[in-house]
Parts: sequence; structure tokens; C-alpha cells
Amino acid sequence: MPQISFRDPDGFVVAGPAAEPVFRVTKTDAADRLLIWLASPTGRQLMDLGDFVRTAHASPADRDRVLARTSGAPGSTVLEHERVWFPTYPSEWTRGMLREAGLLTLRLAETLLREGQGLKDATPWNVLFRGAKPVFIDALSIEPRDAHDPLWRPLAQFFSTFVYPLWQDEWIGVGVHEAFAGRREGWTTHEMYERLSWRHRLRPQAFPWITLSEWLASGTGDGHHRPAKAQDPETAQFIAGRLFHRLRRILEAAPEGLTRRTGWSSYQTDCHYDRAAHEAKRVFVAEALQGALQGARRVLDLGANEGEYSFLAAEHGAAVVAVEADRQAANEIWRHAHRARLNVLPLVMNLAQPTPSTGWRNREQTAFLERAAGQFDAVLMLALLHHLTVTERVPLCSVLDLAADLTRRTLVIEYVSPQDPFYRRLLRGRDALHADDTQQAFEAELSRRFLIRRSQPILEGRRCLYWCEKRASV
Amino acid sequence: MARVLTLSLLLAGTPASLMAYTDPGTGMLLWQSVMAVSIGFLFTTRRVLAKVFRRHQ
Repeated sequence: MPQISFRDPDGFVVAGPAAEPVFRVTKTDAADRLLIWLASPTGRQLMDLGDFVRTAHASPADRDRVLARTSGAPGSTVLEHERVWFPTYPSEWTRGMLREAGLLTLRLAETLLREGQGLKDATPWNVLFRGAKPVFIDALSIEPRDAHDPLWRPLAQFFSTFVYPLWQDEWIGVGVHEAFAGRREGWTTHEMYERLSWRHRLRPQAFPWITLSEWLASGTGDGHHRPAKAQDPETAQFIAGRLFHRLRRILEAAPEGLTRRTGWSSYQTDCHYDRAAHEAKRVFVAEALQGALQGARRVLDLGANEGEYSFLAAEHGAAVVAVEADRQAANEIWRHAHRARLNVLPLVMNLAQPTPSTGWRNREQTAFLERAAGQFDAVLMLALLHHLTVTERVPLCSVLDLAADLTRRTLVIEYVSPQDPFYRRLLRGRDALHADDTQQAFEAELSRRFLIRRSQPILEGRRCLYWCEKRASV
Repeated sequence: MARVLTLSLLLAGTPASLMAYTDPGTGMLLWQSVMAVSIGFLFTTRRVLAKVFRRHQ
């Protein structure tokens, strides 16, 4: 039973097979405090709303099993958390997701403040997404607050991991997923100050929270870490409340989506599908999903673009994970799914460079392919194949092997022939390199791993859609 | 007025260890303290004025 968190002095998380709950081994006093709060009307309401992960005492059998297999002290308490499907990390999120996770963190901090509690950290790693809705999972982050303390200790962490990545995306074009690549703690004030030009440093939003903070830090030695106490709890609560209000305004002022155009945003509207071909494709995918999703619930849409087929799958009752390399297209998926309350979870990720295992001992964040293995009843790979075989130069057989690894049953895949203008655009004259890319060769490779149930040519045969079932032998 | 002064002095800080789980960030903590003093000052002043007016009424 692998330990997947290490940094909290009050306990750690262990996660076994995907079908099991997640367990948290904690110091008994911390667990007791938490359970008392969770039993309060506010705690219950937050769990009922889905804002806070469901948490309870583990059964005695689970407790003994977990303690026997981990380094938990014999007297520790074991808590059981509901498992949130599908786990994702900030290095895979869009800006809208990071913003929403930040707003959830602030809502929780404000709620806790009124009850004499606080959050001891404020980082997006404490949040997962259930579809497009964030859920706070780090139960041990809640702790009693010093009633006379007007300051919020995790403020710097909140800026480093929520606000600065959003500003970087907006001002200098670094996607929020890139801001977390290899950087668990985001960006420090000093790093932000160094990165920004004077034009940005003097912006009204940035000046107090980057420039002034940096000047104050550089003008002080080590003697600055002094606790500030207010004379009475009412004043302390008022000051902290104003701070949360201000932070909420900062997050709300950061746009949920950016208007900057990237390569693949608006692909559906810009691309060469005529109305008839688009409609034929939509009907084919809908029929395949209808067939595939009888009793099945989970779909992986690879190369989802702006999510048209992810939404179609969600409308058929599936829980969908939509993978898209273009951050703006992925953010559009999130915005629509969030507004329409569709069970679609977008991830910004290039399938040719899937998220690796990272964190302490490579155990805190699990690799995407490990998380995805055996999780999906159907996989969609629409208008993606040529990006992988031509742009990324991945052999066709390897792409189909991956598809067979990821789906438990169904694959809906679109073959794009070298005669297709989009294929030719990617080819850039390297025709000789892809001379054996024929539909016959594709079908032969596909048939080794899948049984083709139906196929349908579109766009005068330049593309072809396949609905396949995985062979039992694969 | 004594109350306002006491608050400001207390917020300016007494050297001691900081019970923070995450790195509180030097400049951010100082800026937060400055804000806390300003907000606390306004809050206390408002409370004092409210008391004075109530007494006069």
C-alpha cells in the first residue's frame, strides 16, 4: 500500500488499488479535531455540496490492515477518504481550473475563519476535480486558528501557487500547467519580480504583491519573522476577513479564459469539415458511444480539441477525461463543462509526452499512463493519429498499442490519409518518410488489436472513422 | 486612542518564532503586516468613534 504524501507533520496518505478508498494515517489528536469539525453543520454541508472530500473513521479491519502495511505509529488514527476519480495535478490544469481551485480554497478559508479554524496551507495540490468541479481533499490542512492572529500564514504560498501562475499566463504567456512543471511550490515573489518587466512590476495588481513585497524582503534580514497579534479576536477576524475578501477580488479579476489565439483553439470552426462531413462524424461517434456505453461509464477523449465529442459522451451519461495539448482549447472545454455542469474533466497534456511520476521518490504524483491504465471503457482518438505519426514521429503500431492499453473495450478512431490537406500541412514535404501510410496498412495494424465493428469514410474518403472492440487476446 | 496605539504596537511585532507550516515569505509577511495595521487601525477607530457617538446620544 504505497504512501503518496510525505510533507505533513500530522500524517500521510496511502492509496491502494483504484477500487479502494484512500486512507490517511494521522496523529490521533489531529484526527479527532478534524472529525469534530466534519461532524459540525458546516463540515457536513461542505461534504454534501461536494466541496470537501468525504472523510470518516476507517473500519477496524482497514485500520489494522493499513497500519500493518505502513510506517504509521501503532496508536495512529486511520481515516478513510472517498476516492476522487480521476486524479489530476496542477501541472495538467487549465487557467480556469486553477482559478476555480483558488476560489474554493478561499471560500473554505473564509468559512473556517468564522468558526475559529484556519487552513495551514493554501496550494492547488490540496484540490482535485470531480468532472469540472473542484473538491478540497487535504483534510489535515484544517487546524484551529489563534484567535488573536490577524495574519494568514499561507498567503505567500497562495500567491506562489494560485495568483502568480495566473498572472504569468495572462501577462507573459506561460501556461499555468507549465508554471507547475517541476515546480511544486510554483513561483516565489523574488522569481516573479525577476521575470517581469517594469511595465508589469508597476501594474496596480502586481505592485503591492510583487514589487513592494520584494523591496520589503530585500530590505530585511532574518529578524522579520515576527508574529503579529491583534488586541482582541474580533479585530483579528475582521483583518483576516478583509484579506480573504481582497484575495477573492484578485482571483475574480483574473480572466477565466484568455482571448489569445493558439494553434488549435477554434479548430472545429476553422478546419475543413464541411457541414455534411461534420454531421456524419457526429452521428457515427454518437452511435458508437451509444453502443459502447451500454453499462459503461468512463470515456477518455484523446486530442479532444474544444471538447465537442467529450460533451457528446457526457450527454450519453459517461464520465469523461478530455486530454488536449493546447491549453486554450482545454480551457474552453473546462469553461463549457463547468457552466453546463457536464462530467468532463479536461487535462492539458501532450500525449507524446505524458505526465511522468513526480514528487518525493516519484510517489506524490502518479504518471498519467499509470493513472489511466484500466480506467476507461471507451477511448476516442478523433483527428489525432496524424499528429502522433507525422508531427511526433511515433510509429503507427505504437500508437495503436497505447490505444489498446488505455481502453478496456471500445476504440473510436479516425484515420487521416496523406491526401488530407491537414495531413499534408503537417508533412511539410516529407512524403517519402510516410510513403507506407495507407489505409490498408492502418486497417491491418488496427485489426491485430481490435475487431472493427463499423467504419465510415468521410470527406470523399480522405478520412475514415472506425468503431472497434478490443480483441480478448490483447 | 490608547487602544489604537496598543494595536499598532502589537501588530508591528515582537520577535518570536513563527508557527507557520509553509514558508511565509519575507516580503509577503511584512506587506501583510502593514495591511493588517492599516485595516486594524481603521477598524479600531470606527469602533471607538461608534462608542463616542453612542455616549453622546
